[in-house]
Amino acid sequence: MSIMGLALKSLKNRRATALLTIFSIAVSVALLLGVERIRVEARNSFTSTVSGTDLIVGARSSSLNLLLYSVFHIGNATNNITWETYQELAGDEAVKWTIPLSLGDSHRGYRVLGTSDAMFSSFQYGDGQSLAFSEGKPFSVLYDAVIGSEVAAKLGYKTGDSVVLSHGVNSDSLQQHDDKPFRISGVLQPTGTPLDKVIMVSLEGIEALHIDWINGAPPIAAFSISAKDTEAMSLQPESITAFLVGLNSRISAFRYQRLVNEYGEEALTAILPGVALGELWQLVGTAESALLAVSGLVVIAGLLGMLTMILSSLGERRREMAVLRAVGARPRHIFTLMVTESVLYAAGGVMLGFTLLYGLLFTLQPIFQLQLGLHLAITPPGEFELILATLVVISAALLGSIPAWRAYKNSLADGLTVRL
Amino acid sequence: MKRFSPMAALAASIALSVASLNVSAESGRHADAHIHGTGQLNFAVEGNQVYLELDTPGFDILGFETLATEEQHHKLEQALEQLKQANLWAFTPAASCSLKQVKVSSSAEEHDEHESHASHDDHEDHESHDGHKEDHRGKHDDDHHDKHQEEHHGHDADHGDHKEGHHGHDADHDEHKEGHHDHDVDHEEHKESGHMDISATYVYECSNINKLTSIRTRLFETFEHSEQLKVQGITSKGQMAAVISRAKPELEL
Repeated sequence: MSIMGLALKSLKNRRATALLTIFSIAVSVALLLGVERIRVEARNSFTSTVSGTDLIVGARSSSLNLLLYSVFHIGNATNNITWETYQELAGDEAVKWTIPLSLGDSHRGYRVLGTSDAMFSSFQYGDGQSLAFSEGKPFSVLYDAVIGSEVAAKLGYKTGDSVVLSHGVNSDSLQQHDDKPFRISGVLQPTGTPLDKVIMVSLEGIEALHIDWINGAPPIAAFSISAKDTEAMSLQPESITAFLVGLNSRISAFRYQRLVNEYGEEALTAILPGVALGELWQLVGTAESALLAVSGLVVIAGLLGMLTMILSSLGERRREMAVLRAVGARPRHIFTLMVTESVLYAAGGVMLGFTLLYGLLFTLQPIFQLQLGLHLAITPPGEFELILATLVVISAALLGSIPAWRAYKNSLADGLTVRL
Repeated sequence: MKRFSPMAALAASIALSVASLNVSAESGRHADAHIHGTGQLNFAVEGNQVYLELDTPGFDILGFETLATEEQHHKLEQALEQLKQANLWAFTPAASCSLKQVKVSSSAEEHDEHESHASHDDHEDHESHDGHKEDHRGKHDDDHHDKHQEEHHGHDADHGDHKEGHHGHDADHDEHKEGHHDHDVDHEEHKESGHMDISATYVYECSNINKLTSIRTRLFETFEHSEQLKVQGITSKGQMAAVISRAKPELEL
């Protein structure tokens, strides 16, 4: 009988403790892999959102602030950009396309994003994908709205439904734009970007909502302008919150950035979104490393648990060793047997860990998508996973040589005269 | 030396001083971040070209920023000459890149030039600068996009010079700022500027650009006062942010 076979049989004899040991290694491995997976996917999700955008232009502020409020809808703008400035900067010959963004209203906790047709024709995310509709089409008339997949799923909206937008983004004491309801013209396919969580209307639509407002308050009935009359009025927006820029050539990005940053009429900032994200990762990198380190320590704790288990079982297994010696096993066979046992624990733990991880990924994927807008891509194990698996098995073999050495010594000394 | 936060530094990263670009004197005063020890490097990889833009405080290159003596002028010229060397940047050898174009400038240089062809001893002269820019600006406003774009074409063609020009103003502006603080309107006489920036642009061509995986600089070895560069980069893989420093003068793409 091979040593491997012997080790398996021996483990089978102690299957309860063996399974628990394997399970504790599996949980620690799954934790470490999961932490790493979420870290990588969160980064990918952020990067994918801005992958098709060369620059973002907004009021002068820190690059991170601008990136977060314009694209990820975290926080609010410091200032707006006047329409005139937008037109002038959008007309630069280096510019291929611009997408205006106007924020500030909401609907049942979801942001309303005023934008233009360019959002549907030019915006790209991920690997160069454009926005696609699961039903309906882009907004065509003034009171049309396009909703993201998550809004549709959570609020149960479909095309043709009518929605009333609210003024402001805080959920309490909102004033309703109930005189001018919007009709949903289309629902977007899931993108894994913050656009899943917005209601998009045209810039003119945003302007129409506020056209009769005075001093930040809704008009009294006599002075309000009806939804129908508004359609006939000039609805050129006065300002937008920020705009996305696509350029003809990468090299012109820095010149355009300088042009915007030095723009005399208004204090503006142009950022390269990928660069701003890079800075964000540099900032949060320490926290991420700490999290990874903790998960790494959990794996080590799992392996130490295995070591404890094997060491404490050595006493009980003296008779087993003695029998093996009696049937012709040499001390070095005992040593190999013990190391093989550790490796089996680790390999079993790692395999079960991977199974746990992928099981969790499949279960959690739709929940993460819906709750956090984070798309967890399920991909086969990569370099990190394989290196980790190898490391766990090698460490187990090294740790296993400690009880193996003890067993080896015992088997030399005990011979067949074990007194139990 | 005022310390700005790194974010502010990024926001106002390159040259500024658009004061002279303004129609109204009230708005549009800018002040560039100027942090000794921290320069800015922009690079873009497109086609078979690598385009690099370096912008650093004069102190990082020279160890001083005011040109008082003949020796200091000489040192500046020497430094600018060193910045022009092709081996300041080293690329992955397999990519076989070679320097095609280089342009270096310092704000002090430009400042001197300005001084030489226009006697700036009163406010009037400075105004004339503004006047010139106003015209330029006026065209932007009056005309529609076509015209507007032509204008920008002009910008593009001699962009380098424009930039240097701005730097020149930059120097001017700093002094004026002091003036503004004390006397709201009056511009004081020109004093020697407190700050100087040095910038350089490089275009390298690589015959095997797919092999390009790293950029290494000898800047920190060459100039003992330089400490680090904040990097903004654009490659075919996307945009990236990094910091290269004396301890780690290499950039992984």
